[in-house]
This record gives sequence, C-alpha cells and structure tokens, in this order.
Amino acid sequence: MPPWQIGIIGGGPGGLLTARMLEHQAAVPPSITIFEASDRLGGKVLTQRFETLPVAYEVGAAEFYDYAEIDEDPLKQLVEDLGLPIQVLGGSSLIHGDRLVGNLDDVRETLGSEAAAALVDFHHLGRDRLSPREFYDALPVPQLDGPVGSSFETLLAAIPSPATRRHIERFIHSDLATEPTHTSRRYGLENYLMNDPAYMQLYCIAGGNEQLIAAIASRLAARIRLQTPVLSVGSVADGRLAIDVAAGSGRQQHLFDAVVLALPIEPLRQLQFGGERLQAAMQQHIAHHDHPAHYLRVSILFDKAFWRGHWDDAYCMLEGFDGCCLYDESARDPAEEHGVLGWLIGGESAIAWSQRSDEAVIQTALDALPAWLREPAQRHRLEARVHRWIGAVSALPGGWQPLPLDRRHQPEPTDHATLFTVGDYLFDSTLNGVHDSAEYVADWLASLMLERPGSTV
Amino acid sequence: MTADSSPDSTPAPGIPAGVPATSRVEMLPTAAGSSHALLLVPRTGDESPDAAEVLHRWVAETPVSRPRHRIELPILLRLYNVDLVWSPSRSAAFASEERCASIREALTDFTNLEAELTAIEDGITAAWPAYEADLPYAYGFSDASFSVRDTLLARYGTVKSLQGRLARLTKQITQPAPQPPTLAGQIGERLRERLRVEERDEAADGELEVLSDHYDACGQRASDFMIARRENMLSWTIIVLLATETLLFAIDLLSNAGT
Ligand SMILES: Cc1cc2nc3c(=O)[nH]c(=O)nc-3n(C[C@H](O)[C@H](O)[C@H](O)COP(=O)(O)OP(=O)(O)OC[C@H]3O[C@@H](n4cnc5c(N)ncnc54)[C@H](O)[C@@H]3O)c2cc1C
Repeated sequence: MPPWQIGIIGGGPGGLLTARMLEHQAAVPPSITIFEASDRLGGKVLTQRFETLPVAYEVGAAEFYDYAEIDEDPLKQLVEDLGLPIQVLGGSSLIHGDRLVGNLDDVRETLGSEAAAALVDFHHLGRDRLSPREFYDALPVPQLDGPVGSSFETLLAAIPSPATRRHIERFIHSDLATEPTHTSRRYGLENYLMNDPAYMQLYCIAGGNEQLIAAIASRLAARIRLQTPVLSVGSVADGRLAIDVAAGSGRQQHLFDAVVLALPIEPLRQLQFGGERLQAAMQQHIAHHDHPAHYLRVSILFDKAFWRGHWDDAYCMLEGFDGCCLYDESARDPAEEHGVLGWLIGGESAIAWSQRSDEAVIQTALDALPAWLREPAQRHRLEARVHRWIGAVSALPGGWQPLPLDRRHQPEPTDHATLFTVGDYLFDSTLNGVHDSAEYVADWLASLMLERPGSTV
Repeated sequence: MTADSSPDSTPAPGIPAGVPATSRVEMLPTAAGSSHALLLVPRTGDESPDAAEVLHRWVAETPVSRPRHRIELPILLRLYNVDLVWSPSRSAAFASEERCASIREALTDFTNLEAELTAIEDGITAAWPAYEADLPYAYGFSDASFSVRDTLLARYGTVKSLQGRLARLTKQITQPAPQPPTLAGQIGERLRERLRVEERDEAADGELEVLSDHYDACGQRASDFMIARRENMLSWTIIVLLATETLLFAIDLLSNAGT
C-alpha cells in the first residue's frame, strides 16, 4: 500500500519537529514534503555570524527552557539524543542605574528594606498560587485564570512598593515581549517564577542554537523544498487536500492525504484558504490566537569580552527600553576570544524603536549599559546588527481562554479533518510549546494512519 | 554538623598591610579542633588595584589543601558587589559593611559543611585498609576469627556513624538555595560548586555503602557462626545427657539382672 502523503507548510522548528515525530512514530513512515518559503530551514531559530569576524550570535530564539527538574522535558531529551552540547545559562541580576542588583541583599541596599520585603512577599504569593507542578502541567488555577481584564497588571498593582513593582516589570519585560496589561496573570507570573530554579532553568546549545535545526533536518527522510512559498490550501472533491505553491511566475498544485500548517499567525493570515467553510474556520482560528507581541534584537561584536571579571553571568536585565535582557553571547563558546553582547528588547519599546534607524537603536542600546560597561563598549566595538521581529511572537492576554487541544490543532474538523495546525502560539510561544504542539499532531496523524493505512493520492 | 557555637580560642591572625584600617579579622564558630579566620575589608570605592591580591596572599598563607580532589585553593569568587577568597582555614571578603553579616553567615555554614565532609572523607580513607584486611570475614567465620569480633563490631559502628553524619550533611547539601536569591545563598551555592561538594557527597555515600554492606556481611557471618556454635554445644550437651541416661539405664539393667 502506498504510504500517506503529508505536506508540511513551514520549515521552522514546528514543521521539522512534526516531520521527525511522524517519521519516528508512524508504523508505516509517510511520505513527507516540507515547503519552506525562504532559502533556509529553522524559522526563528537562527544563528548568524558577523561580517567583520565570523563570530556567532543568536538572531532569534536565544535560550531553551529546561523543565527536567520537575518532570520529563522531551525537547531537552531531543537535544541530548542528537548529541548537541548543552550549556546552562545562569543569571539573576538587574542593573539599576550603574549597580548590579543580583540578590535580595542588593535589592535591600539599592531599593530599601520595604522593597526587599515586598519582593519576598510577591515571590511567596507567586509560589503559593502556582506550584512547579501546576506550572509544568498547565493545570487550571482559578485564582490566576481570571475573567477578561484580569491582566498581570492587576497582580503588579497589588504590590505595596512601587520600586518592587518596577523591578519585577523590568525583570520580565523582555520575556513577555509585551506589556503587563496585555498579559494574563498566569503568564506574567510564570515568566516571573521561571527565574526560580524550582520551576525551570535555561540552557542553550554551545556554538549556536541553529545546530538543532541542522541536526533534525539531516536525519529526515522528508523532501525539503526551499524557496517554495505556499500560496493556498483547500480540499478537492474526494477529500484530499491541495496545496498551491509559487512556481516561477505561476502556481503548482500538490495533493496530499494530510496537511500540517506549521506557521505563525502572520504568515497564516497571508495564506488563501479554499471554500467558505475552511475560510471561516481559519479566520476564527487566526482571530482567536491573534495577540501579536514584539521583539527587537541588537547584537554587538567587541574585540574582547571586556566585562568579564565585573559581570560573569550569561545574562542580566537592564532598565533601558522598559526592561530588556542583555546576553553575554560570547560565553556560549568557551573558545571564543571576542565578545558579543545581545540586547533583547520587547513589547511597546520594540515597536517604537524598530521604526528608528539601526544606528539610533545601537546607540540607545549602548547608552542603556551601566557606566562601567558603556565607556569600554564604545572603545571595543567592532560591528553591530539590528534585527526587527515585530508581531513575530504571541502574547497571552488576561481572560483569554485556550481552546480544547483538538480544536487548537484541527480548525475545521468536518470537511477538513486532515488539515492540522502546529505552532508555539497554541501553547506558550516557546520552542517547548511548538514541540508539544508538533507531538500532539504527529500522534494524532500516526493513529489516523493506523486506522486507514494507504494513501488515496 | 558539629560546630561550636562559641568562637574558637585560637588567636586571630593580624590584619595584613595594604588593606584599609577599617578592616577586621573575625574567628568563625567552627567545630572543636579547627579554626577559621575571616578578614572583612569594607569597600570604600578607592581601594588600590592590588587589594584583591593582598587578600589572596593573606588567605594563601595557611597551607591547607584538598589534594585528593585536585581542587586548587584558595578559591576566588566574584559575586554581585562582593569579592571573596576562601580556603578551609582562612577567608577574606571585600564588601560593603551591610553585607558582612550575610557573608559571615554563608562562610560559617559553608566552612563547617566542607570541614565535616572532609572529616567524613578522611574517615572513609582510614577505613579502607581495614576493609581489605577484613574481607575474609564477610565470607566465613571460624574459631580463629573469634578474637576479631569486637574489632569488627567497632568498625561497623564507625562506618554506621560516618553514614549517619553524611546523611545529615546530604540534607544540607541538597537543600535548594533560598528564593528570591540571597547573597548568603549565592555564596554557598558557588562555593559548593567550586569545592565539588555534591560530587564528593555522592562519592562518599557510594563508598560508605560498600563499607557498610561489608561490615553487615561480617556481622551476619559472625552471628551465623555464633548460632552454629551454640547449636553445636547444645547437640553435644544432648549427646552427653543421652549417653549418661543410657549408661544409667544399663547400670540399672545390670543391677536388676544381678538380683
Ligand atoms: C527574537 C525572538 C526570540 C525568541 N526567543 C525564544 C527563546 O529564548 N526561547 C524559546 O523557546 N522561544 C523563543 N522564541 C520563539 C521561537 O523562536 C518560536 O517558538 C519558534 O521559532 C516557533 O517555531 P515555528 O516553526 O512555529 O515558527 P517559525 O520559527 O516562525 O517558522 C515558520 C517557518 O515557516 C516559513 N513560512 C512562512 N510562510 C510560509 C509559506 N507561506 N510557505 C512556506 N513556508 C512559510 C518561515 O519562513 C519559517 O521558516 C523567540 C522568538 C523571537 C522572534
């Protein structure tokens, strides 16, 4: 019997993970074609090199979330199975003015005893409301999953010390990629608590996160078609699904038993869907999940890592840009002699600054450094890059109700039961989220292939 | 951990030249028989660039090492706004006055923890030659072995006591650092990492398990031997009694036959 023909649209982590899981899980491996619009695989997992010197830096996803302390972490397991070198990322500080505030004693000294006490209270409140298990399993927590309007801002507003409130806001701003008013209480708290090792730890792949993409792709049997943007998806009379791709100045049609849309919201919006029913279902799907969040990344190469000895963490938070994350990217490669700092700017600041020139953004990023880094940064700077990611990630607003898992992944179950969606936006906008989503769809498809073996294409 | 709550009576070493006059040396409360001097140098902001070098030299004056683990001492740590130099018998810190209490607390805890771990490791090292010599007793016990019974019991006691001390220490070692992070917690965490405390704790646990299993087995053999010996004696007693009874019966029979 001919194997199932499956089309995957999008060669980012979501598409590649779905293909890998399908090839591993299906009793009879399907014939998979991955359509990727750009000339590379990996989507927002992108490690680039500077022009002046071939030193690596992360353009997109910079860190992986490690849940292994609580329970299984299939993404970390995959990274380990692929033999990729893991490097733990540590840091707990925020720079207030020119001072590194790295622990409660520093908070007490910089912001005062009241602020320190309020921080301890907030931490305990967070831990009481959301345990590591509830965090890991995404179990419902009535006190947090409040009605519409119950944003993270309402939790912050209850903190008696304004200095502590600002400290927490700055601390998690770049993780949220949006403002507390556009974030649910739960998601805000999760992003705060993930700094506590009982909830999660951070790691990266030493030498560049994109190695994960290369490692997955090199083990796939799937056909990969780069520079092949998909224009439309619909069904044909016998229930099979048709994909139209751009081919030269025209279009080319491909038929499949099942199609996986492994695309973020914005490219999904650009696709055309055939038939009123599918159009309406996809419109609804997109509208339900359309909560754009934003990033702006500044990466600067220096002739040496002049900050070592003064600041040795893998990252810290800066007050500038309403709170942004500063990564020591050169710490990711022990052999690297040069220095690379990366600023991850999120939310409204990312939108505002993305409209400014690269040089203005770079200068402001340098100005956001404390004095003891600012001056040497100007002297040692070799090259700077700016990457704009407006609307590229998703927020989780307060009161927003996630759909049941089946509905999330199968937008139109009646006439398009083999059209699936995979995406980080269906979970928590992270690589772990997209992994969970890919696993859900791959399991589902594998069971469908068992029930009805053989392709109809 | 068995730390004296009173400061050690060892006189505090002098303050080295080249550090501000506001510096002071304090003796940390440590276990009886050991001492730890902490040099606290309040940060003024205009320290000479070689001040850290002075602290390092002062700490390195005491020749305590951990050669078994190939750990280079003293340990140098730079934490947020604090510079630390640590060795098992001396440490020094560059920090603002407000941090001194946290630093003292963290160093007292860690120094005692590390000293106790080292003492347990020393106990284990000392137990290995006896273990080798005692190996045959885990297999079988004889009359000739009888004399070592008390020695084996004492070694068993030593191993079990080391195991108990380690169990109490493990509880401290595996305890998560406080959150939100505190300076004391961070110092403890970093020093535990640099002194490979978790690894050493696991290794000591593994070694103690081997020693404990061995002396358990010796105890079992000794007890088997004692039971067998007692049974043997009992059998002989019964045999003698039966023989006596038979003899008396025979005498009785003979005397009856005579009459
Ligand atoms: C700046 C930044 C930082 C981030 N940091 C982290 C982090 O630290 N940790 C973390 O877990 N996550 C992070 N993320 C999120 C993470 O990158 C995403 O979760 C992940 O990339 C989602 O994978 P995906 O495959 O769903 O989408 P993408 O990675 O966006 O991949 C989609 C792919 O589809 C292709 N495509 C688009 N349209 C079409 C079409 N019509 N036809 C064919 N192909 C098409 C695109 O070219 C792309 O290759 C970050 C994201 C950004 C932008």
